[in-house]
Amino acid sequence: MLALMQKSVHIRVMIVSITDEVVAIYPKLRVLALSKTKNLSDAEDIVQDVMAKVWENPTKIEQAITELGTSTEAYLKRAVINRFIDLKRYGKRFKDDEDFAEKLEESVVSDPTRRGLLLRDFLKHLTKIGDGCRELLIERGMGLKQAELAEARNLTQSAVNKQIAKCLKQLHERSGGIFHEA
Amino acid sequence: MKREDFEPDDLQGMLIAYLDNQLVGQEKKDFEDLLSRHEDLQADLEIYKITSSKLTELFDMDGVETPLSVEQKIRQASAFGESVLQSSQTPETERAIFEPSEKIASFAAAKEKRSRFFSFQGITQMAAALALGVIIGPSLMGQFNSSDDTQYREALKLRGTVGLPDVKDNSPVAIDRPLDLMRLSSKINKDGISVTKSAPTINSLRDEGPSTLTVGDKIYINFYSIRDGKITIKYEGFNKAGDLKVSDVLAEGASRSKIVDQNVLADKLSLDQNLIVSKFEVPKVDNLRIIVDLVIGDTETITYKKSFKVD
Repeated sequence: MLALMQKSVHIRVMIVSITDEVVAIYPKLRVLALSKTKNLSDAEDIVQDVMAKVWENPTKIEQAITELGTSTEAYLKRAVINRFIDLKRYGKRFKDDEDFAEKLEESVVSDPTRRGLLLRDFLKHLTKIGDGCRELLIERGMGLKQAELAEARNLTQSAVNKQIAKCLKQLHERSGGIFHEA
Repeated sequence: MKREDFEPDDLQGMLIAYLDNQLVGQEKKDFEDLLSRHEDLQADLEIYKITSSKLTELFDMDGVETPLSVEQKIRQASAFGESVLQSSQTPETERAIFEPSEKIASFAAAKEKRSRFFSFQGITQMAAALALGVIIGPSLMGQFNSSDDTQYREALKLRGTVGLPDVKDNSPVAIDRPLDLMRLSSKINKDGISVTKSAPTINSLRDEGPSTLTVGDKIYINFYSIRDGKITIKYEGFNKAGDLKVSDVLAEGASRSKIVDQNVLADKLSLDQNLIVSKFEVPKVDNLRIIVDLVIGDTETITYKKSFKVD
C-alpha cells in the first residue's frame, strides 16, 4: 500500500512538473512548428499532437528524457520536428499562410521597445530567406544542437555547419547588418 | 594548418564549429593560429557570432507567454492524463484482492483482505478521481468509459482534423469517433448547430461558418450534442414578410440498423457525438432556419435553432 502511495505521489509530482514545463514552452513549440509549416493551423495541430502524446503516457516520456540525458524542452522540440517530418512523409501538404511573416512576428516578439522593433525587423528578413535556411536558423536560435539538426536533415555535422554558415551570411546580408551598427 | 588545404566552404563550416566550441585540443589551436593570420576569416566569424546571438535572443522569446485559454486546456488534458495514469495503478490491486486465490484460507481472511482495499487511501483516490471528473466535466469524461487506448489518444488531442465517411448527398451521418471536442464545443456549443460549405473538418469549424447563404449552396449542417437524446433535424424557409414557404424534416430518430439509409439516423444521439447532414441544398427562400429537437428521456426536449439570411 505504501508503494502504491509513493507511486501515486511520484505520478503527481511528475505530471505537475511536465505540465508546468509544457505551459512555459508552448509558445516556442508553436513558433518552431510554424517556422516549418508556414501555416498556423497546421503548426497548432502539430504541437497538440505532441502534447497528446505526452498525456497519453507521461511515464514513458519521463523515462525517455532520462535515458537520452536531455531536458523536457529539448525533447519536446525534437518531438515537434519529428512530427512535422512524419506528416511530410505521409504526404501531408502544408498550405502557406499568406500572412505567415506577420503571424510569426506576432508569435515571437512582444517587446515594444526600440530593441523589440529591431528584432522584428531582423525577423522579417529571416522570413524572406529560403525555407531551408529559415528552418535551420530558427532551430539553431531555439538551441537545437548540431547533432540534432544534422539528424533531422540526414546530413553530417560538418555539412550542417557549412549550411549554417551560408544561411547566417545570407541573413546578415539581407538584414544589412542592422545589429552590427546598433 | 594552411588555408590552401581547405575548400572555402569547409573553412566557413569550421568557423561555425569553432564558434560552437566543437573544435578541441590541437585542432582548435591550429585553427586559432590560422584565424589570426586571416582578417577576412575573423570578419566572417564576427558576422556569425553576432547574427547567431541575435537569433538566440529572438527565439528566447522573452516575455511571450502561453495564452490563458491554451494554458487551461493544457492543464485540463494534464489532469485527465494523471487521472488515467493514477487509475491504471488500481486494477492490479483490485485484481489481486478479488481474484480467487488459494492463499485465502478462510472467509475471515478474505474479508480482512477486502477491507484493506477500502482503505483511507483508496477512498481518497476515489474522491480525487470524482473531483477530477467534476472539474473536467461530462463532455470530456464521457469519452473515456472504455479502456481503449486509441480513444484516450483521440480525446486527449486538443485539435485535430477528422475525415468524413463516404455518404450520399443529404444523408445524415452520426460520427461516433470523438472529435476534437474542446475546439468543436467551443465553436458550436452555444446553439449546437454550425454550418460549413465544405466537409466539416475541424479546420473549417474554426470559422463560425457563413451567416448568409446563397440559394443552391450545398451546405453541411453539423450538430454537436451535449446530451444523449433522440433527434430530429428540420428546416424552415421564409419569405421577406416572414411567411413560412417551405419546411421539411432532414433527419429523425429511427433504428440504428438503418443508419446509412437516406434521412435516417440512429435512434439516439449520444453525448458528444457529432451529427452531420451533408450537402443540403439551400432552397429558394429569403430566410432559412435550421431546427434540431433533442428529446431527452420521455419528457424533456431541447430545441436548437439557427437562422440564416439567404441571398
